[in-house]
Amino acid sequence: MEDLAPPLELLLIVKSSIEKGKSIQDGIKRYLSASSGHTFAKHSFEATTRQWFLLIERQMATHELVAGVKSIYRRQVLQLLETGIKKEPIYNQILILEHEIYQACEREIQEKLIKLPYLVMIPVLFFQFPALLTVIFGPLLQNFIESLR
Amino acid sequence: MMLSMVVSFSISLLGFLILKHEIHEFFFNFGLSTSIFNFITYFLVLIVLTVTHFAFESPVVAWSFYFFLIVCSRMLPHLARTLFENEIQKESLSFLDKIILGVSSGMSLRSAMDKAFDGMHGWRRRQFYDLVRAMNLGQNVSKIMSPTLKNLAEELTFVQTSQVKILEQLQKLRRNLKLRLDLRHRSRQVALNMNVQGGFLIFVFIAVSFFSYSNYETKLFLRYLLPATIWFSFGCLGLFYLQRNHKWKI
Repeated sequence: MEDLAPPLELLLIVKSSIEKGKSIQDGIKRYLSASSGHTFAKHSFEATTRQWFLLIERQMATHELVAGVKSIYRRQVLQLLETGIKKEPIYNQILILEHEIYQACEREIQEKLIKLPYLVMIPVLFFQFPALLTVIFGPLLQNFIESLR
Repeated sequence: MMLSMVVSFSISLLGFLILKHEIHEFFFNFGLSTSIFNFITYFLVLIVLTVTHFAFESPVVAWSFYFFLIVCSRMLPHLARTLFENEIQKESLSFLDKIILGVSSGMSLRSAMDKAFDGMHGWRRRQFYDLVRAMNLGQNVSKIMSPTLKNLAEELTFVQTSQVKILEQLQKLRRNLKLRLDLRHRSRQVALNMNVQGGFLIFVFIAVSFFSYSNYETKLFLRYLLPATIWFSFGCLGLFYLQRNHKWKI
């Protein structure tokens, strides 16, 4: 979980690109080249972004692809960037969206922290605790049974 | 017997010299304290004497032991780099703060960076040395090993070459870096809880195994230990899976 959420990563790279006076496309390319071969390359968002960017470059419609993305934040990011690619100013919206996604990430981490004790109980209860009991009581029980015989 | 002892001692001595060289390289590259290095050297001397004492009849055991230690020492830099990366991330923020302070007070970017670098000590100084040298000499940043420092060097090089609104660019860079660090710090808490729990349970399992070993017959104990260890390892793998296999829903 140590990597950033993929839409936030994309937004931060594009924002940094705009701040340097470069284009949005340049930021997206940087995101795609950084994510290929990285751990979060497995995320479906990277593949979707790649596909979406190809459609943009070929000047084809992206509505269907964007509508297929489940997360509203990811959809928002792609729609915002598409607006930016069409030469509309989006820097302020990027800042707002960045803040929103950051808050959402914090909420998700919080939820994960709440669920964690219950999730951790599964391997502990079903694997580690029986293993401990086996080491402690296994030889003891066998000794006891043999003494009864 | 005398020959075996001589061979064992020679292997120990050779192993000691290779190990000392490897650890010296590691300490030099990471800029770690020399007093710790001296302590480790004395510790290694003790190991040489102990190994020579116990394995003087079988040079193969001595050779295997040193081979294992040398392989471990070769992996030390990779392990340390992973461990130091978090610290470097925190330190790079503080480094950037000092640069911003310097630039705000009217210094040039390079002077502010040199001044921020002067305040560093120990391994931090050694890590940032490559960055400062690359910036001052205009060298390629690809030689910097740490990904955080490499990224910082690229960003600082861009700011330096752009020559406009340096302070504003540095502040934006700091804000982006802080945002990333804050979120990574929060998400690490999830992994930390599992690591602590997993570590504690492994410790308990080893302690309980030792207790059983000292109280029951070895044959009886071993019959239960193997299946229990396999079962326990499944639990550890489960914890590891839970820790690693998180996908962002956002």
